Amino acid sequence: MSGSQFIELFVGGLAIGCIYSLIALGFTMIIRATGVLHFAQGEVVMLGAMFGVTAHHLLPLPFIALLLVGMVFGGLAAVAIELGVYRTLRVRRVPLMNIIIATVGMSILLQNTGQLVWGSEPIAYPKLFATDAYSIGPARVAPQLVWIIVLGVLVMVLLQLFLAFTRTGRAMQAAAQNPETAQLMGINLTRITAYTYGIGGVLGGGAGVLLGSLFYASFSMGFLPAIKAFVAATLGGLGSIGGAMAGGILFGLIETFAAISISTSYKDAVGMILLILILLAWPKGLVGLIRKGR
Amino acid sequence: MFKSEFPAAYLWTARIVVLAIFIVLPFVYPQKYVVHIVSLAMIFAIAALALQLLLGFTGLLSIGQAAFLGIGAYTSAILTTTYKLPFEIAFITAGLSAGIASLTLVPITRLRGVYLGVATLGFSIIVHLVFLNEEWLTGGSFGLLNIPSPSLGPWILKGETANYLTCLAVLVATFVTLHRLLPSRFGRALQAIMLDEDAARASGINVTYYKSQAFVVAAVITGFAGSLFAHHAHYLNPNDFTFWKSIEVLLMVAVGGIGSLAGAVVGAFVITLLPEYLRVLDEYRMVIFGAMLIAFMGLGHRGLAGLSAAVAIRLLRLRPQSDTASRPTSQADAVAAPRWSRP
Amino acid sequence: MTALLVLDQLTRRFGGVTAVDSVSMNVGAGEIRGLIGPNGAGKTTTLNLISGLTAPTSGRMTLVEQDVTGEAAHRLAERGVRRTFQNLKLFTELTVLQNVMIGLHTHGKSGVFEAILVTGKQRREEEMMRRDSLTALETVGLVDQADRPASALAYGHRRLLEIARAIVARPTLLLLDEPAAGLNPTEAEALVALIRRINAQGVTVVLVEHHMDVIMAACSRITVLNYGQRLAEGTPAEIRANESVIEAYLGRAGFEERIAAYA
Repeated sequence: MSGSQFIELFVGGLAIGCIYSLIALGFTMIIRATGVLHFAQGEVVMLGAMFGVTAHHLLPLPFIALLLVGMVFGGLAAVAIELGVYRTLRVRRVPLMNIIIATVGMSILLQNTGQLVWGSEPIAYPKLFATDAYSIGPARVAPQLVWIIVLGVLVMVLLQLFLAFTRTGRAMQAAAQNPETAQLMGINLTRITAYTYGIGGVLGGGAGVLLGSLFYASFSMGFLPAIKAFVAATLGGLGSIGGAMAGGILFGLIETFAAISISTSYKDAVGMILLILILLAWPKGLVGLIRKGR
Repeated sequence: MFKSEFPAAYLWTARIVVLAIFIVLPFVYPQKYVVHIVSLAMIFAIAALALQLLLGFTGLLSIGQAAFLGIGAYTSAILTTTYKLPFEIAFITAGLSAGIASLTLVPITRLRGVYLGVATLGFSIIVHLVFLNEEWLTGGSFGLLNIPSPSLGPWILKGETANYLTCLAVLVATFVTLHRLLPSRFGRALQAIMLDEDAARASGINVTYYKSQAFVVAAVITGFAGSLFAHHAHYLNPNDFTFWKSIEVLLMVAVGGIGSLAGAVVGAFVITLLPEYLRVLDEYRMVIFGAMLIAFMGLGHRGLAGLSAAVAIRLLRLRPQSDTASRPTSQADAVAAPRWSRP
Repeated sequence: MTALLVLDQLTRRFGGVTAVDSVSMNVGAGEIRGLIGPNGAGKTTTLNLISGLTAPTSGRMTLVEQDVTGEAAHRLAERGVRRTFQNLKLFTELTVLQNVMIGLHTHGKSGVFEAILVTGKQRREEEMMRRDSLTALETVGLVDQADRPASALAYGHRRLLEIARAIVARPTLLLLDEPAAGLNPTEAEALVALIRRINAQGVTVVLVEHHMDVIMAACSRITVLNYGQRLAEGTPAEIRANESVIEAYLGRAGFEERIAAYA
C-alpha cells in the first residue's frame, strides 16, 4: 500500500469513525443512565439528516447551520420520545426489557413515518464543499472528510466539557453512576433522563447530517450505522464515554482498511468478528482491559 | 416464568380446545392464503418457543436465532434439492446442523446480559453474510428454488393443508417437549441459573455446561423450524434470515410474555399475523405496527399471555391458587428487571 | 480427629486489598467451627474461597486429604461442600420444594433426553429427589410450606430454606454465612438446635456469625480473623479470655457484660 493510499484510507476511516463515535456516544450515555439499549437511535440519526436537508431546501444555509439544525431537531425528537413514550412506560413500572423492546417498536414507527414524510427515494445532500480536494502530503483527500473529522471531534470535545464543567453535566454523571444517591442529593432523575436522551439525540442528529453529507439521506439510513455504532460502543466498553469515542473511531478505521483487503461483501462481518473476539477476551470490552488493574 | 394460577384441569381443557381449533381450521377456512399464513405463524412459534427456553427460562438474551433458522432452512433445502434426500432425513439433519453450529457460541455463553445479546446479534449478521455471499452453496441473492414439499415415507405432503398439518405436528411436539423439560432436573438447573448463578454453582450446577446445552437445544429446535420454513415457502432467499428476523423472534417472545410457553406461541402469531391484518391501512401499516408494539410493552413482563390469564381469571371468577397474586405486583416485575441491569 | 478441611496459607487479593492474608486453618471432621471477626475481617471471603466461588491468589486447600485448591464452585459442591449466603440467594420465583430439589442436582443424572422421553429412570429419580427434599424441609421445619413460592416466605423461614437447600445433599462440609442475622432470640435458639441436629448427622460445620450467643452455644472451636489474618484459635472459653480478641473485636466493656451472661 502506498503512502498516499494509506493517508486517504486513514482519513476516510477516521471520518466514518467520528460519525460512529457520535452515534455510539448516544448509545453509551443512554445505557449508562437508564440501562436501556436505545434501538431507535438510528432513527434519530435519520431524523437529524432529514431535518438538515429539508432545512437546506427551505433556505440555502452553510454546512455548519445544517449541522446545528440536525443536532437541535435530533435532540428535540429524542426528548419528545423519552418524555412521551419511555417515561410513560417507566411510570407503569414495566421491566427494563419491555422498554428496550419498546425502542424497537419506536424504531419501526419512526422509520416508516420517515418514509411517509420524506418518501422512499434517497435525498442527496447539497454540494457544500469546495470540489477541489485538499492535499495532505502526496494524498488527495475530499474536503468533506476533513470537515467531518473536525466537526465531529469538536462536538465530542464540547460534550466532554459539558459533562465535566456544567452543573447539568455533572448531575448526569452522578445520576449515571448512582441514581439512588443522586436523587438523595436533590437531582431530578426525570429531568436528567430527558437531558440524557436529548444529548444522545443531539449527537445522533449531528451524526445524521455528517453521514447524509457523505452519502445521502433516506428513511432507512440510520439502521445499519446504528448497529455498527452500537457494536463499536460495546467494543470500547458499554458505559464508558471514552470507550464509545475510541470504539467508534477504531471501528471506522478497521472497517475502511478491511474493505480493501477482505472482499467488500464481508466488510460488515469484520467488525462483528472483531467484537466477538474482543468480548471473549475482555467480557466488558476494551475498557475492561484498561481498568484491569483496579 | 410465573407459576400458573390455573388449576391443571382448566389448562388442559384450554389446550385441547385450542388444539382442536387448529386442527379443523384449514377445513373451515380452506382459503390458501389463510392456511399459508397460519402455517408461517406456527413455524415462527416453534422458533419463539426455542428462544423462550433461552430467554425466559435460562435468562440468556439471544438476538441471533435467525442464524439457526437459516442454517436449518438451507441445510434442509440443499439436501432435498441437490442431493435428493428424503424430507425426513433433511429435517433431522437441519436440526442437527443448527445444533452443531451453535457449539461455536459456547465460548460466548459466559457473557452476560446485553453483551451476550450483542455477540449473538453479531453472529446473526455474520451468518447472514455467509448466506448472501456463498452463492455456490446457497444461491446467494438469487435464492434457492424448487424446494419440494415435506414428505413422510412414501407420501408427499403436498398442498397447503398437508403442509399446515406438518407444521402443527412439529409445533405440538415442540410445546410438549419444552413442557416436559421445564419441571425436570435439566429445566430446574436452567431456571436456577437464571435466578441466581452463584447459588446455582454452589448447588453443584455447572453453569457453562448448562448454558451451552440450552443454546444447543434451542438451536436444534430452531433448525427444525428453519427446515419447515424452507419446505413451506419452496424458495429461500438470504433476506429471510437477516438479523432483523432475529429481532422479530425476540419481539414475539417479549410481546407474548417472557417466561410463558403459551406466550411464545401467542407472540409469534401476533407478530406474524398483525402486519397482515394491518394491510388495510396501506402505507400506515408499519407505523401502526410499531405503535402497537410499544403499547404491548405497557403490559409488563407477562405480556399478552399474562393479560389473557388475568382476564380469564376475572371471567371464570377464579381465586389465585398460589400466593403470587394474579395482579402483577411491583415486586414481581422488579424481580424481572434487575436481570437486565446496567453494564 | 482427622482434619477434614485444611487451609494452608490461603490468600486472596483484590487489586490492592488483601482480603484474606495467609490464613491457615484445620477443621476436624465432625466439628462445629466458628469463624468470627470484626466487619471486613475476611470471613465471607474465606467462605467464598472454601466454597470455590472465588479462587485463591496463593496458598493451598485440602478437603478430605485431596488437594482442591482453586477448584470451581460446582466441583466443590459435588465433593460435598455446601453453603448458605449472607444476603440470601434463594430462587425466589420457584417454590420452596423446587429450591431444595435444586440442592439435589448432583444426586441426579437425567438430562435433556430423559426429561423429554420421561423414562422410568427419570421418574424414579424425580421421586427420590422429591422425597429427600421433603425430608430436608422436615428437618428445618418448613415441610408444610413446600408448594408455596419462595418469595412468599417470611424472612426467618427464608433463612431456613437456604439451610434446607444446603443440607439436602447430605454434605460433608456445611458453610453457614451469618444464618442468625435478623433472627429474634427464640429463632436464634432454634437455629442453634438445628445446627446441632445437622452436626449430629455427621455434617462438619463452619459457622460465620456476629451473633455471639449462637457462636458460643453452638461451636466446639472458634477461629478469629482480623484484617484478613488469623488472630486466634481455640475453644469458646479460650477465645473469651483471649486478650487480643477482646481488644480487636468486642471492646472490653461490652465483652465483659456478655461474658457475665455465660458465667
